[in-house]
Amino acid sequence: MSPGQDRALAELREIESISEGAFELLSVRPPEGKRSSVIAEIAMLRSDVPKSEGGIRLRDRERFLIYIRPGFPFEIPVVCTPHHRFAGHPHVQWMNQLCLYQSPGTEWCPGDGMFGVISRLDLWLGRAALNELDMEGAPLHPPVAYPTERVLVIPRKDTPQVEGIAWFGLVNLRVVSRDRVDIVGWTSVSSPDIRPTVGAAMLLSRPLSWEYPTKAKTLLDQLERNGVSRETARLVMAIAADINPEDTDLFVIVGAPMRGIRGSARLKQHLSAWLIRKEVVKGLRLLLNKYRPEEGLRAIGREVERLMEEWFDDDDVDVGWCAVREDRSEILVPRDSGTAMNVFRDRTVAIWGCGALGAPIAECVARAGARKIILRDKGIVAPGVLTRQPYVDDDLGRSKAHTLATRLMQIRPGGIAIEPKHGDVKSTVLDEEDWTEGADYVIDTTASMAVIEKLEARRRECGRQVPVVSLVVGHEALKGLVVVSGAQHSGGPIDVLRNTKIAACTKGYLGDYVDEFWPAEPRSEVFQPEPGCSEATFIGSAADSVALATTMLNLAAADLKTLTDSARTDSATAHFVAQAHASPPGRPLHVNFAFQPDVVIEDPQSGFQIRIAPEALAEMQAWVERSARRYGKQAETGGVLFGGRDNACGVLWVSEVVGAPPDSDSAKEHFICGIQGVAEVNEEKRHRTRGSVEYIGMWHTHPTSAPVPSGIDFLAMHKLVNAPENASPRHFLLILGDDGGPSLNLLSGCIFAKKDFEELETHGILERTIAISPVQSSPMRRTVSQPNDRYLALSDMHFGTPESSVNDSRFRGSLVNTTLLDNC
Amino acid sequence: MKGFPHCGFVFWPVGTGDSTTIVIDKARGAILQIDLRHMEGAGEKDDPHAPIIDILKDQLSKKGEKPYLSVFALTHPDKDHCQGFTRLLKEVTIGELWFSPRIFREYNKDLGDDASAFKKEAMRRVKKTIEKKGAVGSGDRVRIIGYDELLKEDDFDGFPEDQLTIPGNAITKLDGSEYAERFRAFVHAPFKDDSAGDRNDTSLAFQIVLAQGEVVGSALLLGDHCYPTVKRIFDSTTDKHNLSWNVFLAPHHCSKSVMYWCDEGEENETLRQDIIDAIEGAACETGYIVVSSEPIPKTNEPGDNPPHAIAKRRYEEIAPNGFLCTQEHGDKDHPIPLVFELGVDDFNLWGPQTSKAAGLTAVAKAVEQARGGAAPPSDRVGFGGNG
Repeated sequence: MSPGQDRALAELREIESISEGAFELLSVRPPEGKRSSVIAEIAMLRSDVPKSEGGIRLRDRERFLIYIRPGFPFEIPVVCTPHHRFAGHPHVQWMNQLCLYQSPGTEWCPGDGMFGVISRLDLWLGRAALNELDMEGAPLHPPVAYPTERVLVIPRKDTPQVEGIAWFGLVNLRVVSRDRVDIVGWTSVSSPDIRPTVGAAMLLSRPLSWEYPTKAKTLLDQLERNGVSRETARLVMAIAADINPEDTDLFVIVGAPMRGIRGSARLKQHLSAWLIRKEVVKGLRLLLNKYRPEEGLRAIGREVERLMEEWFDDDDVDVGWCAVREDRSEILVPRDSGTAMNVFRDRTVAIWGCGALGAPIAECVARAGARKIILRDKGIVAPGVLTRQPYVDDDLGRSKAHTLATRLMQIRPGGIAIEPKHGDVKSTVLDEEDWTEGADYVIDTTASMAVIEKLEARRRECGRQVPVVSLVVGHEALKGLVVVSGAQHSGGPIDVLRNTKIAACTKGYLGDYVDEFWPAEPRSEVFQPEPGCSEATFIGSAADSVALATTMLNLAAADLKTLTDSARTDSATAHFVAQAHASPPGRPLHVNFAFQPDVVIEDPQSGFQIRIAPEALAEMQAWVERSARRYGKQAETGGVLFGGRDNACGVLWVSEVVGAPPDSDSAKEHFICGIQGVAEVNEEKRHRTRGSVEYIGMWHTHPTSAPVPSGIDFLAMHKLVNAPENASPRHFLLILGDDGGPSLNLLSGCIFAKKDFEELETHGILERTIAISPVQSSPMRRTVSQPNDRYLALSDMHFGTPESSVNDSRFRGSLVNTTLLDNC
Repeated sequence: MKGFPHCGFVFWPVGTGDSTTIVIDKARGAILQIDLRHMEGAGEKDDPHAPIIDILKDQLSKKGEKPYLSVFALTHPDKDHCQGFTRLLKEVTIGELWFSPRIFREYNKDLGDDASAFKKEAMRRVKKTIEKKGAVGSGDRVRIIGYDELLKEDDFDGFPEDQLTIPGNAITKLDGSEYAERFRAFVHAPFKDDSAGDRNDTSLAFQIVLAQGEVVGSALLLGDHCYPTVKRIFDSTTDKHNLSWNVFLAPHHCSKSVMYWCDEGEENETLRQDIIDAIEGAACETGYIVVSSEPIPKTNEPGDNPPHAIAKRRYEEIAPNGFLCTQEHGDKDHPIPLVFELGVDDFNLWGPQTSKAAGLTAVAKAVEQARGGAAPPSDRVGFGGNG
């Protein structure tokens, strides 16, 4: 006896000694060999157990045999009854073996030893007596048909509905290998949609016994009681046999409504597969002769049928049950249900980049049940990438996109569409009319600034907007950054990255992340796997890249799931993540950000889109109110704008503002913007944000008129762009104007460059198209300015004639007040 | 108590002893009483034992001025089986007596007063039956349960054969009236060669079958027999229908000697699973095991008389509907009789079937205790050096 078996018996004796007869260790059968079990015969008082109708009928005391393996407590004992009274109840197998644990791996506690076993047995019996082993509302334990054949059958198609009477017909089979057959369809015997290989199917309307019969006779008896006569069963089998090629075994699929949730009105079919050998199948086929017109053949058919009847009713004929592993959507609860990754189920996902981040992400998305994956990559599989990308030696030299597609197809053949395309994202997808290619989500793993810059530009042009996820990892794959820009967000990934940088720069404790992704000085050492002739990349293992990729994918998936939630005011998110094993103590392993959309206005003349941070707009309005209190509502005021400009994608961001510098002058008809302290403020912002926020222009108000630049405004801008000391060739002018409401609710923005004044200087005429947009009543509200909200105006101060349409007017302005010009 | 059932079995709380009333036909007053134990003090306030004679007097129909009992059967003349017979005989008209003369042969030396009174009355009836060549009426009838050889003995010479029932046969008459349609008592014991054995081996043993319409109820009453005889009954009964039971009265008041036995040459008693299996195998779908005894202790000391806890445990394992003790049924302080009635549709036990409250079972409590807890000691303990 092993030490574990000794311990088990000692524990049973301990329970017995203090149980006052409620628990008895009646006998111990020693092991027959070193690897054999000790069999402990025990009896437990059960008269104190509540019972109810339908439960296992317990006696006042029940006896059990506990098989204790030599490896106890690391091997779980098996508990059996010495009788078959419990047979037929759920969770009783082989007539007398109790299924005490649904998940032995997690429920069995070796440290608790036999105390745990007896506690569990006590609980099991208590529930069994109350008929609560399968609780109302809980999944039913499926019945069992003990497999004796080595063929695995996988039902992939949901069964037909069975109402009232049994259904019989055929199953279309896909023979995957000698050892595996998939059920890919259900048809009636007369359907034209019949595959080369079929099986017979009988779906019952009432349950079978919990343990399926092992003898053909018993099974046919049970089928008969369920409305499938022997003759019908034989006929369906014979029809299926006749369709199949000769010399093939026949699968008979037997279904009974025994799957689903206990108490539910409609249970799903539990399927079992009976394999009938080809020798018997021959007889089944011959049986059909009884329907032939020739009397001789009919006689043969009848005789064969008689023989088949005898054979099936022979007490010695076993049912050859096959193992069945479900893949029907009506049965299978996906193991990832309820997880963030569910956001990709049945969706089309475009993945840009099939490398260290893209490939594991694509695999996760495929396993998550995506309907279609579009793969884009310009690379081929090189030897060096095998270190961390999921390719194999045979793949060397092949297109990553196509190789990955093949790999993904193997996960769910027939269940997913993969569309690989070899090529540069910038010159393929991003040149197409719909850069989303019909996808529901785009995941960019290229870590290419050019890609996200071009994406930003294309995003502005394309009407269809979808959420975009963009991921990058640090130079040693110890940190990652993922941004998600929702379909409703004012910008794409580059916009969110910029906001993330500005936000992170204001938080000192995020210095490590800022240094990683936006180093103050360009990183002098770049990693080139093949020095001199390869693109720089990061250093990191497969574990590093997969860990970061999947962590960031989960974060993005969770955000994608909730970004459409109407309660959310933000429309973009960002996350820093760091690998735990390489992070100094106390440093945050995860930091998240959420961003509201900017207020977006257009400058039709320059083609730039101006995105004003809600905080900046709020700041300006606060300055306006302050000025109103100090100088009266009609006095103009203004200040200086700070942000950034990206010429590639044509976006100007207004991120921060200041009000009128101390040396400014506010009056009813003009505002002279001072300069005192502005240079210092600009330096602070530029330094703090590592160059992302710096001087971009000026703002002022038109308290009593529309935000149309006046002649004075134009001249001011003319002066600014021509100032000899001015390094900036462009200046931005933002005007808050009056729409007759209680506050200044109209906005316009113009970016001026020297060339804008060439005509003025030459011909004394300036033409400028201006877009005027309403300010949101609450800048924090999540509504992006829509093109329809914008209108173009004619100023009464200037004159002009509409030339194209009401919404695309132009005006001419002339310089009328040189005094003011001088003062500016 | 709401009176006798119309047809059924009643087991009374009479301490460790037997008093079984079998109601064959209440309307016709056909009642069979097997054994009697009217304890001293029974019926007094706070005494938990049933005053069986008073109950019988109250429940039996009257014939003339006295209550009438169709048959009184004595399994064996131990005090716990015939206590109060003297009074019963005096106050109740007993139509017919059933007994085995063999039992007196073994018990003659130490018969109690009640047993002596029974023997005296039985022999009076035997004599009168012989004298009248069987033409005796109610109150003088007697049925002898024994073997042919008995009639060759002086005391029984000339006793009519139809008043003799040889074990292995069934009785369907009660006090001269035929009840074959609703009553059958199959006699299992004593065996012919058991007269020289232990006194308990000479007990009468019956299977009583009652029928009312399509409902049938049977009780197996095996007296005070031990393992060898009980085993022999099961082994030698070829027609297993004669063994089936809805109620099994545990022999000898739940004595372990029914299933724990020590054969000659063996040192210790061992569990005889064969008899457990045999008893279980004879159980009907509805089946109760009844013990007629004082409350059963959780454990016994060596040498304790029945009831034995260990025997109860074995019975608990095989009783389909449960194990019941007469003195524990309902409430130990105020037990109620166990009444099994052949109803219109089924064989049932009177009274509500108690539903156990949810809570920790005794086994669960034992496991918790064995597993041990983390509570600190509740009492002080002292420590100290040698000095």
